[in-house]
Amino acid sequence: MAESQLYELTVIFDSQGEESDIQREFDIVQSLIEKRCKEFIGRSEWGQRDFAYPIKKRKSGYYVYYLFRADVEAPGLISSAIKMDEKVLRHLLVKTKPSAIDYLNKQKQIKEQIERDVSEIEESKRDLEKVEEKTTENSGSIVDEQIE
Amino acid sequence: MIKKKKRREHRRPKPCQFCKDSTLQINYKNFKLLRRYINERGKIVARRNSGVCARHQRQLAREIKRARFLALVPYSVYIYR
Repeated sequence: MAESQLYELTVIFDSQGEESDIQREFDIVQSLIEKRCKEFIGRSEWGQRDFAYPIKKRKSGYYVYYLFRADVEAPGLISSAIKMDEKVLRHLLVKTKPSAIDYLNKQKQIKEQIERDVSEIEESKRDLEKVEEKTTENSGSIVDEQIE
Repeated sequence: MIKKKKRREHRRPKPCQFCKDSTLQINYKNFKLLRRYINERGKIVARRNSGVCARHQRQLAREIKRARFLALVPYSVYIYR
């Protein structure tokens, strides 16, 4: 029996359309892989990127990276299934080394860190707004006292 | 009169950057690193100019071609003169 291999797939999705539709498309491709692979390891969204040259008259697209372990026959089936998808502009499916798993974990850590930073910034903004509200209230009361 | 022959200076070749630092990974995902090895026209820089060893030059060329396919790096850049 043939041993399973580690594969990585990078897909460029069409950025035209609604955000929710594009997100659904990411899940469709993931389910497509999960049906045919042995073990789905994870995915990483690179977000919208500008192309170095236009592809199908588009100037930008959404990049999503998938990592999975599959048998030798699976990549052919997966890429032929992806080709049918109209929302996919281009895809690259290659064999990879176990270091790709580290890359995926690193990407996850970076994403979590960014989310944490964003939440911290939002919290500090809310605190600042509260302080500003309090100061305006206080200054208003001082002015009222002076008028009296 | 016998002319003295000029001695050619022998420069020691620089060691390959990727052999020196094993943490540097040649991969199409790391396209910012790959941009260092293409010139302003978008061509792959020869190893006599970049100082990369043969093994890593092969890897670099393969990964640059993958990055080009995904439009992360240009195939060619037109320079108007």
